[in-house]
Amino acid sequence: MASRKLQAVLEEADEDARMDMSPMIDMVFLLLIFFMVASRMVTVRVDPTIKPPVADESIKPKSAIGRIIFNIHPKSAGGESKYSTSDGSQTVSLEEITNRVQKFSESRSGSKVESSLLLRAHKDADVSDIKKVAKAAAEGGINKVIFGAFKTDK
Amino acid sequence: MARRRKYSPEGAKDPELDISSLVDVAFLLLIYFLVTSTLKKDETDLSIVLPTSIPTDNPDPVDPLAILIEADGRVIVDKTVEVGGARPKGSKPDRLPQLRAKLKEYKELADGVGSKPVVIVAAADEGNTQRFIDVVNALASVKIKNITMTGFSGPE
Repeated sequence: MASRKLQAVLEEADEDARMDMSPMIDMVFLLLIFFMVASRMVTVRVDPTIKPPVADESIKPKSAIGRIIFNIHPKSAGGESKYSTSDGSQTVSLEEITNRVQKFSESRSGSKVESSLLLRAHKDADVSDIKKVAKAAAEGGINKVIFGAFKTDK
Repeated sequence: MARRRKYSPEGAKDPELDISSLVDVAFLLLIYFLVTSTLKKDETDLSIVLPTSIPTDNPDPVDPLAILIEADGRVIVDKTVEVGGARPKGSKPDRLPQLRAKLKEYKELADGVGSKPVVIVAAADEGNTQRFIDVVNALASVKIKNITMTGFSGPE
């Protein structure tokens, strides 16, 4: 009969070799938590073709409530202005902007948050288009204008 | 001193938890976030308030400051002082330090007499948005939000 020591050695040799997975799980959880914290759910669809200008004094909005959004595209080769709704799906005229702003401000009458116009103007758009849209919005009853910008150009 | 040894029957192993399913779920979630998330810059706000057409009985004791933005990007204060040079389209943003210094002076003057600082911005129609935003940015640096925009042209 084999000695106890020999028995123990034989038992150990029989066990399957196992990999310690705990550091890997640590890493996976770390990455998972990073992405969960860093990612932001998109609540307002915006036109990705618009590249806003850079302004280092611009501030991160606390809330997007009470905003009506219009995009101003750079002038086309033919020199035509183009304005569109938030996600860029609909092209709108200045008259339509006035009507939409009017309806929007009427629907928000009595609200605590002041209605505002968020202008997402492309950095190469003409200033004349900003003036036209701001004027159209003012005619619709909104005189607070917010320009969409990037904090840095990097 | 004799030490008590914990009784463990021979051949008995420590109970182990099978964590492979947990790892599967964690990987699944990780891959989901890796695929769906895009590193996108957040858009920020630069706000101004346009004047309303309601007339006031008490005119401000401080004259409004006029800023002219030419089509080539030059920025001129009070019709004479050039505070920013020409900038072609596609130029990088400009902090306009001279304009900021002027605005700071004007803000201090207005605050000193208890008046609201009002700035009139006359931008040429052909000017580009980045240059206009450079000026609005300079105004925001001294907390001036009441801006009158002039030179409106009629709708096309």
